[in-house]
Amino acid sequence: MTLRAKIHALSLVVLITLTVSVVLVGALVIDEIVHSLNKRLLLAEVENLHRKVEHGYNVLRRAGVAQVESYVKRMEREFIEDLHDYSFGKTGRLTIVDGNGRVVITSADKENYRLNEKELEQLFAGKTGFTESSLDGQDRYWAYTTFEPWNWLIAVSISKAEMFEKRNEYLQSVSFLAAGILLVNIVVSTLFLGRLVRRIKTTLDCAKAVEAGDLSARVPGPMSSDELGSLQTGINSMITTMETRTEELKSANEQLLREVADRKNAEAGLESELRKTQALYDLAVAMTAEQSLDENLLLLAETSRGLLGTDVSYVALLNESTGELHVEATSGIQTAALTDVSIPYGEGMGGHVAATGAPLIVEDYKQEIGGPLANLVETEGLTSLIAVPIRTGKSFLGVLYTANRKKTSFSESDTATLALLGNLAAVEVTRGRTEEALRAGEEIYRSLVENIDIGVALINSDFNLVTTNQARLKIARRASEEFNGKHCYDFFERIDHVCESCPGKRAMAEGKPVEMETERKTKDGDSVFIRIQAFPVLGPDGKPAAFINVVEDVTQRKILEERLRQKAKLEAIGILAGGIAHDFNNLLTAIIGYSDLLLAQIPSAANEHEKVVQISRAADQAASLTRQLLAFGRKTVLEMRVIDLNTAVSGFGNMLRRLIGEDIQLDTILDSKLGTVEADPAQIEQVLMNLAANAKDAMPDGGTLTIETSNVVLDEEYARAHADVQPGPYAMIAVTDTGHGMSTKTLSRIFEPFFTTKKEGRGTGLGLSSVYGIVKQHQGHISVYSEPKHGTTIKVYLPRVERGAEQPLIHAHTPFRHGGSETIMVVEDEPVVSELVREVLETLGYRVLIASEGTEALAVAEQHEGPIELILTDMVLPGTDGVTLAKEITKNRPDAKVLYMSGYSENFVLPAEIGDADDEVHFMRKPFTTNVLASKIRKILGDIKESE
Amino acid sequence: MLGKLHTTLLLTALLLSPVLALAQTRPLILFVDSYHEGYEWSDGILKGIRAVLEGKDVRLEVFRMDTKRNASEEHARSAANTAYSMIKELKPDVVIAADDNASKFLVMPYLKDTSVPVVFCGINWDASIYGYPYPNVTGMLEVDLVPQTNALLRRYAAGDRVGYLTVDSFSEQKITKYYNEMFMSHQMKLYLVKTFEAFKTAFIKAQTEVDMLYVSNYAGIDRWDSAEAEIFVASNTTIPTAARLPWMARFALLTLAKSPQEQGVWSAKTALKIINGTPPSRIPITKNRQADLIINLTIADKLGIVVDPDLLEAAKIIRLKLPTVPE
Repeated sequence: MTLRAKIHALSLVVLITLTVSVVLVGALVIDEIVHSLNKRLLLAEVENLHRKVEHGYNVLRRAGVAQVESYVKRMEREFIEDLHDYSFGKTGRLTIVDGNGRVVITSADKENYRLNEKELEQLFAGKTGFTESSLDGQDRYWAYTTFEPWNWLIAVSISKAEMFEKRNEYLQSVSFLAAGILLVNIVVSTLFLGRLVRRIKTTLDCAKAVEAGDLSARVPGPMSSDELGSLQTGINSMITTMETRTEELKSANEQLLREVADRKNAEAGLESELRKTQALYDLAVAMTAEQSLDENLLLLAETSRGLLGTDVSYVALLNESTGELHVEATSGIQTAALTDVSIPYGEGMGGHVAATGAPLIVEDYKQEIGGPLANLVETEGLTSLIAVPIRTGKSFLGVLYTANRKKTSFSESDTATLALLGNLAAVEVTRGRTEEALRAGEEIYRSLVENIDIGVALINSDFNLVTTNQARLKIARRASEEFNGKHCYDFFERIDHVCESCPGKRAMAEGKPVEMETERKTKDGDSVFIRIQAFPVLGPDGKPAAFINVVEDVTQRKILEERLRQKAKLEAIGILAGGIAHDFNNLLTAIIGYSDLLLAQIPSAANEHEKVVQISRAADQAASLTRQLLAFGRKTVLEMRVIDLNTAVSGFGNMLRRLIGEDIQLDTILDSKLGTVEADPAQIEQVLMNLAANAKDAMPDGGTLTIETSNVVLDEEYARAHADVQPGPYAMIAVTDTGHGMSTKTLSRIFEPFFTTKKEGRGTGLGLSSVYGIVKQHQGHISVYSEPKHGTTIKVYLPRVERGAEQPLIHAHTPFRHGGSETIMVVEDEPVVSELVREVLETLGYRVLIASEGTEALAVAEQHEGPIELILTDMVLPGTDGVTLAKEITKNRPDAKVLYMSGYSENFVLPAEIGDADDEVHFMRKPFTTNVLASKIRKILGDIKESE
Repeated sequence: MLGKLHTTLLLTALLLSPVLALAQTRPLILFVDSYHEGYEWSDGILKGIRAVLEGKDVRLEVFRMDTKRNASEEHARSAANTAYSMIKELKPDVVIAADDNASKFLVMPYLKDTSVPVVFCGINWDASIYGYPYPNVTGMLEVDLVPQTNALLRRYAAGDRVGYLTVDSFSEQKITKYYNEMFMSHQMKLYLVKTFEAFKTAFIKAQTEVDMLYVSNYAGIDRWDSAEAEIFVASNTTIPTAARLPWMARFALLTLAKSPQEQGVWSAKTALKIINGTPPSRIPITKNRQADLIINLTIADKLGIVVDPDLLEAAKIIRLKLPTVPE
């Protein structure tokens, strides 16, 4: 029996024994588990059924009908229906028996299985338990319990065969599995033994080959980690050691032969090195002479030919902008094919050297490289070449080539020599390019200084001009030839000495930059404002020896600043004037109103009557002044309409003629295609009236007043020069007189309120300032041109709109004073005005409700039970505004009408809703007379009802 | 002594001031009830609201319009005006408006499209008659579980004819309209009464005219006497009867009662959502889904009905304590 057969037999016996033992022990344990589990399962099931019955009982008990037979029967029926299809496994059955031994419920009828009395007694000893039976040839397990309130016995049974069905299936499966495992084991062990025998045989074969002298023979891998594997590894290691020793002996012999040859070569090389050193020294000396880069590169190419004994040398430099190498110098070229050519980066020999940064030797260019210069190299007849990089640090600058026409084997020494020449070339290229960059930089700076719009000059310590740029000359209106050898202070007229506040002098004295702004006269006598910055320039001794003047013409900026200052001043006065005027209007409303009331009460023949009339007139004049102040302060309430200015001028003609008198001729030149504007017609009349009055005063001895209209477009440039102008189309009215004109000083103040050139008492000083305010409130622009003794033109520009002019409003001016009996709510925060209005309205027969602010007004409106026909409200109220308040009240009182009043409104253009279908504007300016108040109210409320 | 007292008062005030300030900054919910305290439905809603708000950092104020006991429209308008003044003064973060009159007299005229968020509840069947929804209003409708009640009645009824006996009021007319339109195909017979006597007459008449009868609400029936009504109903019921309000369970075989707590719980939860930043416009209007089943075993016995176990299990059982009537 072989070893293999023995091992097989032993394995088989062990495996069979183990498998049978596991199966038998498993079967015993499973029997025990199955019995225990089934007992618990049946007991749990019977307990579940007990709970179900108990739940039904509890439902009846809770309803108080647990003892009522009809409900118990109903519940029993419920259980029978519910448990009719009861099942538990395949053979599980339910039986419920009542205290009289009557079977109440059974699910056994499916198999006609029933218990008789005897069987019941045998099986169910006690109230609850677990038992086994063998009835009708079938072994069963039983679990049972008693539901005491109804004395019901609840039992569940199941056949033993079903219980053990799974166990039997398990044992069958385990047996099959064990047989399978046994079979697999036999196959695996057969394969393992076969592999072991093969490994021993290969080891034996290797030993035989070594014995025959084959030191390359080895036991084939992979090696296992067992003892046989270790033996095979040891044999392989031993053969390797033998092979290494043999190789070492051969190598030592070869080394000895090479050393003898090298010594001979070294003696010949020493002489050659001396010759090269001398030539390089000569080259370095020659390159320090002041020669151009091209000349030095040529010298370098020739030296390389001499040192290496080659036919041709050439230098190619990298053009950084194109990324190509360009041949810059050649030596020994016959056909001129290699001059002035470019080599793309990365291609050919040069490209390779550029990319690798390492020298390259080529014995046969055509065979080995090819590349972009292949044809040129062939034309020149070159065969063998060396190329080395020209570089400084990491910067690649170009390539140095040398070549022979016949095939040559260049040595490492040749390469080293050429690399040395490459380094010299790098030094030379860097030097040459630095000089070039310096020259270009100087040119840029010169061009920069010459082309900027700011004057720059270099001035020495004697204040002589060393150099200057064109801008500096332009500021002074001078030509360059006028300044040769001149002083800096000669730039401007009238100065023939160093300025006292000379910033250059101070910069040199203080050793730091100095800045100043000053006014100078040019050669032509014009004033220019200049900003000078002086920077000290240090001499070799570290002390200031000169200075640089940077000069900027700031004349335009100065003019704009002055205009802005003037505008801001006018704005501030406007705000002040508007604020005062508002309070004045409230007071004047009271003065005028009470005057009216007094006049109505005092007989016209009485002395007091005339005095009150005087008070009223004075108040009217004050109101007129206040209106002008409001106009200037741009706080006039505007009733904007689209109008044609030509119509405004024409309609105003007659009044204008009366105003200017007979000594002055009135000419009107109206543009028939004049565009429309959106404006308050009354305010435009005011503008025309004020301008005409001003013109009349300028022509005490008569003259011509011309009013002209035209379309004008103010462009971006004009807008830039006038800070508050929006570029765009405008309609213009120009008012020109031929009067005495105005000085520049007067011109700068004409729009200030209370500024007047007239004698005291002759003018209010509000005419032009109110014109200014009205125009600005219309988003317009105003310009004045005046020449002393020649006259003045004032141009008013108003933005054009693309809409047709509206029909002018026709106001019925017939004053009438008529009262009524309607209810009017007055909302006014100024008590004086509020009281006056109440008195007037009550005198007129109206019923008056008073409120001083919005919340109070809402409360009064809510509490008042009768109708409110009119709400008379101030536009500006504490915490709200008249329009919002009126909307709120009219929500619940849609029939109430509204009349607004204001000294001025925060919203200085009337909202669209202030008006009715007949275009009647429901608005009154303060101050108003009692007559205006009465008629306005009557007009809004309509005719008095007949019943009244 | 006075000095000490003064110091103590000062310290107490200083200690309390942050507490008082905090109370003012807590969000406020104003519950506006259409009816009065002691009215079971209103009390149930408030109970639900309080259960949700318990332990939450919010304040609850209650205003009763009392329009059940004072049924005139003039009184309702005046009560709504008072409620609106209260809203302007207290500036609540959310108003919960319970039942129809709060919506009709307060929300629709005063709070529609304002910045005051409103959650309504107890609106019968249809909120659109008050113009709902508004952007600032959401709420829970009050609907009866009619199909479910019908199914229960049919278990014990001899036929399909349905009757509905109730007080002749605006709310009840609205409810019967919906019953007839949505569930009864306009076949439901109505018995609308104003007095107790009329109720009794109609009840007896219905026993022969229909096969099952809804006994809806006695609130508002003149001269109503609940004790007498119990005896009357127990003696005269011959067909299965149903109620929809919990206090009517004494007079019907079975009652499927809506839960006022459900209305209150949903309203309070919704109010908290609004306080936490959800706008009312993003909370859809919903309907109640819960009901309590109540079975009157006295009437069941009278009808000879053995109530099914499933109903017995789910229901609250009541029995009437009727006085012994001498033979």
